[in-house]
Amino acid sequence: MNTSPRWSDTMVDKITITITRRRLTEILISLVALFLASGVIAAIFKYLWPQAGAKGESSEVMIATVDEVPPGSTKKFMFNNKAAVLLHMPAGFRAFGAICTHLGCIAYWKPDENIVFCPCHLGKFDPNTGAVISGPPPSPLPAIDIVVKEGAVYALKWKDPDYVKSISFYAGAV
Amino acid sequence: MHIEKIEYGSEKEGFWSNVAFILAVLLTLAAAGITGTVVWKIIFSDPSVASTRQFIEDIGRLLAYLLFVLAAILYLYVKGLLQDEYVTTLE
Repeated sequence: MNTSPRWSDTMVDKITITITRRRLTEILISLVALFLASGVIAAIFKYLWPQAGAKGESSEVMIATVDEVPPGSTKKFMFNNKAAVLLHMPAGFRAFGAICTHLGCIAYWKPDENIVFCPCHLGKFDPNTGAVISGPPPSPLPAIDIVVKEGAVYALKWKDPDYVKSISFYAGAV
Repeated sequence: MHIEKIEYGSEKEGFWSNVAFILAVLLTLAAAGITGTVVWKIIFSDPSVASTRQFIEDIGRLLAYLLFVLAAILYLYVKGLLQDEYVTTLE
């Protein structure tokens, strides 16, 4: 006579898990919270290490329409999370990072002197080239490649691909 | 040192409790959908789009909806599944 347990006998010992509606609701809410938290963390990581900025590349970012920036005027904008300025010079549009290369203050356009001016230590930059005219800044303002098309000005990338990595994270993040 | 222990007792029963449970589950799915939309938009939107006022307003609106939905789920959970009175004991 065969005394070994039959397959149907072993199935009797199956584990039964009961879950209450309350517990199910708690689990679902926990999953949503986890999803939200992971999304927030992913967004923070993307902000801290923007892929385009880290490689010195960027997709096109519209700065302004041509009409918004008539000759002799400027517009501040953010590029790769860094302060930048678009200038409409007689020779055409120019765009530079606005973070002073001295100590990271934000430089701005000073029309009466035709310069980009850093108010912290009186650094002066050429609005056409970004070169240092006078003051303590050790290097020119970083230039941004731009393109004018369909009546608007777009920022493309930093001319120096290592620029964003070379400055501190908080510099110019206004 | 004492530990406060809250005993919620057994689940509520009845028709309205079931309605609350089903609504809570549906709203949870809605919350997951809204959360996914927000996260997707923030992470994958083009920078030129993500820097517009419209985009920021859209995200703000979605977060407001999400807050409302989460509050509704909490309300349904408390009123639909917990007992009206619960016991607090100190150990």
